[in-house]
Amino acid sequence: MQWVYLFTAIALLIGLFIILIRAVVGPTVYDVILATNAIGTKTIVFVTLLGYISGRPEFIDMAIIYALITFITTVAILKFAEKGRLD
Amino acid sequence: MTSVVLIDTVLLLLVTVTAIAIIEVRNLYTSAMLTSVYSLLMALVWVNMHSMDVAFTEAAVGGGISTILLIGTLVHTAREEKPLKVRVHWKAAVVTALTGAALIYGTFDMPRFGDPKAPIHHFRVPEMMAQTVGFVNGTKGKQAPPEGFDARAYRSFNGAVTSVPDDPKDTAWRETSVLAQHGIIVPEVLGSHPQHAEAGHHLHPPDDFNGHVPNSVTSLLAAYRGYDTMFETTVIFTAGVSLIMLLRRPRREGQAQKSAPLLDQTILRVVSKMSIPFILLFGLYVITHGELGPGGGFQGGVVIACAFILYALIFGRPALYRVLPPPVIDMLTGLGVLVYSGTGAACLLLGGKFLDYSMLDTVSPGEGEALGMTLVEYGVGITVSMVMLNIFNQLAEEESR
Repeated sequence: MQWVYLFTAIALLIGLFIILIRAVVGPTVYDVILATNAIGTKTIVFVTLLGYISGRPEFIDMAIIYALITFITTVAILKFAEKGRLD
Repeated sequence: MTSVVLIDTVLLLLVTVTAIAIIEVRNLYTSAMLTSVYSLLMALVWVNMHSMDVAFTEAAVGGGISTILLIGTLVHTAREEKPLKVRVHWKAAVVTALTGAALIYGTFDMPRFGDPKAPIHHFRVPEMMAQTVGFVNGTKGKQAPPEGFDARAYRSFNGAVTSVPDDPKDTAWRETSVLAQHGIIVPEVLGSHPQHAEAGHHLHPPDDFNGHVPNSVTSLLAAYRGYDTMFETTVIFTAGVSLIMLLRRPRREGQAQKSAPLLDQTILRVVSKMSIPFILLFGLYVITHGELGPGGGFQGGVVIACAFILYALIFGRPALYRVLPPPVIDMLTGLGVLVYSGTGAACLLLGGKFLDYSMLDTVSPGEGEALGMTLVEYGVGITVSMVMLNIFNQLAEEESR
């Protein structure tokens, strides 16, 4: 099981790294927004995987929090891009 | 090198790359988003080390609310950072380097990560791991009950991560442990035996919390260092009050609130309105569940604040003020601190010490402790959520320039 975790985690980390390059280099602001969102999704997968491997179902709480938080953050970021204000 | 350490190294590398990018990027908007990425990666580091409470806080506070608040400050400033002439201030650089070196030197005295001989593993944690409250059929996860299991089984027993193999010949640390001084024998496998709990807490009823709630982090935060947490809450309250004094402008009579709601975005509007009740429910769950699993007042409060912020983002701030008028927000900010200190005072009046929760239940001290912690978590949650909401409201308010 330890090996399964290691290999899946490494695959996810490579994906994270590629997205991170886009977030740092990304010519337009929208590249960064998309990259941030994708990193959030990768994080959710990572947390759920670790929770499954180590047999601790409460890790799902973490994954839910990530999903909620990244959604609200993305809405705020996009609203600022469109309207230039937050309220 | 175990897989945990390997993944940790790679993650910290990514975190470093992100941190350098945050400093280097000139566009402040991009920089604010990269801080969110930084927090998400940092939270993964904590998850990898199985410290769920820290990861929870990092995700909720770092990835969520602080990014929103940073973007809120962008409303008041320019989007581009002014180019500075790079000149190294040598004295400052030397002081910073020395402080960093001292901090790193200080970590050498700490026990290694996952070391079973660390004091925490043979003082409080065995007691808490021996408890059965909050787990289905008295077992934790799919593991068998702890009867005649070896060291390897123990390691996977609670998902604990150890980096140093347990050496049965090395008995010195067992004899000097705090438990041993109280006449409790630490078994071969670090004290996760049920007899432990009986030996230490034979005075409590069997279905009790054995004197302590299952989540050791909450137990430490809310009971063991309850004063500390109370003053942390007070610090947040003070920060909120200071920000109101700095940023709040008296509103002129008859002046309409300006706002830019996103009512034309049908999908966003419907999805948000449907999900807000569930986000609030989840926030309450995180607060209430704090003494059983990961979570607590700080994280739950932030989640609740995020739900209100989402409402303000989609329907505009005037709509939020119809739900929660600013005087109510201000009042609730203080109420949280009052609930916390009031719980402490109640314990005092019932004949115990300040914040001695076991006084709250006359029959079972453990139940009293759980009740007190829940009350305290609610206090923290109310203050945190309302302070965050207040800061957001003040930042989102566009100044008439």
